[in-house]
Amino acid sequence: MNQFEDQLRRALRPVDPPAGFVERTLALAGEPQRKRPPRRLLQFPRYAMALAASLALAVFGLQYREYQQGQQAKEQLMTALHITGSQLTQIQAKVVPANAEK
Amino acid sequence: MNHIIILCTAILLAAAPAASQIKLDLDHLAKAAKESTEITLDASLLNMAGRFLSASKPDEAKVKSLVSNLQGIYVRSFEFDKPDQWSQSDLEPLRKQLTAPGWTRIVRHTESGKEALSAFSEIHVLREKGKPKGITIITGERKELTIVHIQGDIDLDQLGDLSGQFGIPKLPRSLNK
Repeated sequence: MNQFEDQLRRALRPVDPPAGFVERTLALAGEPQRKRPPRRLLQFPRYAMALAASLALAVFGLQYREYQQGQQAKEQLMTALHITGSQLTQIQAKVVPANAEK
Repeated sequence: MNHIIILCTAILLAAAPAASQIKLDLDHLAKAAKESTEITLDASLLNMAGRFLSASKPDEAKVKSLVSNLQGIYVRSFEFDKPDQWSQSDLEPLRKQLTAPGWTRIVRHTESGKEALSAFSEIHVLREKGKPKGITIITGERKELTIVHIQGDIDLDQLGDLSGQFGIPKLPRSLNK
């Protein structure tokens, strides 16, 4: 127990501040405080803008992809109808005269 | 037990392809062909294409209306360098599917050359409760083969209304009945 008390006493013994500590502290206390805007307020718009820009890009990207797929599907549909049409015309040209001859 | 039966029935129903669904497995011909066109428009792609068709333009409005009831349009077209690079046996798996109940061949036209069949055309129609639910057109020449399969509620009157556009001729109204 005595040993512990001795250790505690040593740890809590008064220590002199380093040289110039008082002067530095007083100097700092005398300085006018710089007003810093709150950190959150400064950071919020940046993050929000980055997030909004990313979201806008993602939405634009998805819409553009959908537009491209839609246009491609429309072109394929038109090509398919052209091919169907030409096949039907071809068959009609062959079948109708054959029937007419009968 | 009832749950198991219901589950099994649901799985079987989901697994069994509808008669209107035709499998066009002709990849081997695409490899041999000089030129090939493969168009696969399932219901979702048709729906997407439909959204890009203008309802205010009369031509596009007709197509939009026509495709709104379709479940798929599939085209396989091949052009070969040399004659006889494809044979009737390549079409056997497809023809087998076209013998399923509901399918009827309504047109078959053949042209024979000196040696063998030089050209042919076929139209098969699938009817359910008297209404066309699918149409398959097969045309072949010695250096060409084209298969068109349209799946869904086909209004042949509407298809006929597209005559003059996309090379579609006036279709006989009797096909719709």
